[in-house]
Amino acid sequence: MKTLTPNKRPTPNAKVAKAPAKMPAKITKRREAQCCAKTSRTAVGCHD
Amino acid sequence: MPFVPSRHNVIARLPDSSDHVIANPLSGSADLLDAEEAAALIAGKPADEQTAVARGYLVDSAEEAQRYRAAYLDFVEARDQDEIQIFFAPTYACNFACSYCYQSEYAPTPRTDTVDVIAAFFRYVDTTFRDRKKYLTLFGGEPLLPHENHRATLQALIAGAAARNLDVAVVTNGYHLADYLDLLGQAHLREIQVTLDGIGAVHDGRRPLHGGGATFERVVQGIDQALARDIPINLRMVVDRENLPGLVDLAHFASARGWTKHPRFKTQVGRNYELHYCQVTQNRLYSRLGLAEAFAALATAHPEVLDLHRPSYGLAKTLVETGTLPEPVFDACPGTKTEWAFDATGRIYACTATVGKPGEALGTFYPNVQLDEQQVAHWQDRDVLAIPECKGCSMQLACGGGCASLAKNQTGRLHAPDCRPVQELLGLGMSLYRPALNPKPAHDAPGCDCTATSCD
Repeated sequence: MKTLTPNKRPTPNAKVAKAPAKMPAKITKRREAQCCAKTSRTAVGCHD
Repeated sequence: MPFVPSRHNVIARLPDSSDHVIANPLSGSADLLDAEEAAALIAGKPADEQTAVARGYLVDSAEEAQRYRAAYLDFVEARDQDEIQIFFAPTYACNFACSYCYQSEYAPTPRTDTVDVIAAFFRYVDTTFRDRKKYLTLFGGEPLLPHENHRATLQALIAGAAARNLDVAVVTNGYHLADYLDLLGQAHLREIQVTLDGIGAVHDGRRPLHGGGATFERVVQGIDQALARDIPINLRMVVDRENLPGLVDLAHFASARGWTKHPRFKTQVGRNYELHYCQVTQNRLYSRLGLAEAFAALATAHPEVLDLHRPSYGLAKTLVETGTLPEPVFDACPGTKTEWAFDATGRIYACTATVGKPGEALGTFYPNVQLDEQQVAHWQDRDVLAIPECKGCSMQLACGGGCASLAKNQTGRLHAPDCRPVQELLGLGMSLYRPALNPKPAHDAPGCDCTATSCD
């Protein structure tokens, strides 16, 4: 599993919802450096 | 505690890959999964249950229902405080004869008391939307026609907006834009939306003058002059099978013109589709998914198209560009909530899809103010909780039930869905934008072992 977002949103409305039974564990984003990997971008955009 | 798969998991396979993406608009989580992980999650038996629970993919149903209710209340509260876009169509007349115009059969009897109509319009706005943030969008027909009476109407609308500190946006074909820039410059301009369907003959063939005649060069001049004044331009491109490949030329043209680097330039791609009436050349029309697939193929073969425009692909673009999912969408239709439309006949409509269409008016602001409260309430009640087909759909918080007007045209019911291919769009978009998740470091950045030649 490769995480794309931070942890689950905080409970949106504390007035209505209780705290979640389980707090999400922290999951570190894993981003591999893939220098010069083939991309769908042009040379102009490849360093965007 | 028994955990079950969330009702809001959207799991899509990436085309040409065994990888999947899972997104949950309620929890706000998204992850890439291999085929084995996806299958296990769908079965409710992920190898790492703790992580799946933490991400909101496996849930305690009661707790999720509570979060759903809370998110709904937050959505409604935020929408109630949101800005209203107020459209005004000073005319349905137009100098263009676009091959796909959905308003070409609109022919209301024009009024001669325009000054009184505009005064009544602003009185209605002042009263009805007194405590709301709002801005005015001039719509049509074509709001920037050349005759003096049209100019006087525009002047009155811009003066009325300025007196109330309302921003103004304009939706125009762009043909007379350059002639109107001085007048429009008196407003606080939010943006001007102009349409080009390609370059040169491609555009001219689809968007000619009434009676024939090229329009491309004049529209381009209008865009150039607006950008030179730092006026925001929102370039719309209406596409179907005939002109989609022409976006490559348009991308080159926009780049050469300096548009795509201009900070006040943005774009949108509109799909040519049948809103109210059938089109003669139906075989050129894309479905939503068909356009998304064709655009992805075009952008893969010609990546410069993405310099002109990057479609949202449902949740995918936001996810890749921001690392977050959009907030849950309980209602995708702004009509009568954050959008209203008015015209110079004195009628009130829900939105731009219905404005001017016979039988769709919800009331009048001139000569008398009256509103069909029952119809308005029916529009305002429409969301994914009110649409029966949405209730059990796992895509509901990404789709939001779609367009109410289209749903009504397709089913006869306002409280019906206009479904979006959320799952397929997510897969396509992640496949197209996935490389952005792994940006290349600069040559001198730590970890870069490439050569300048290979990068260039």
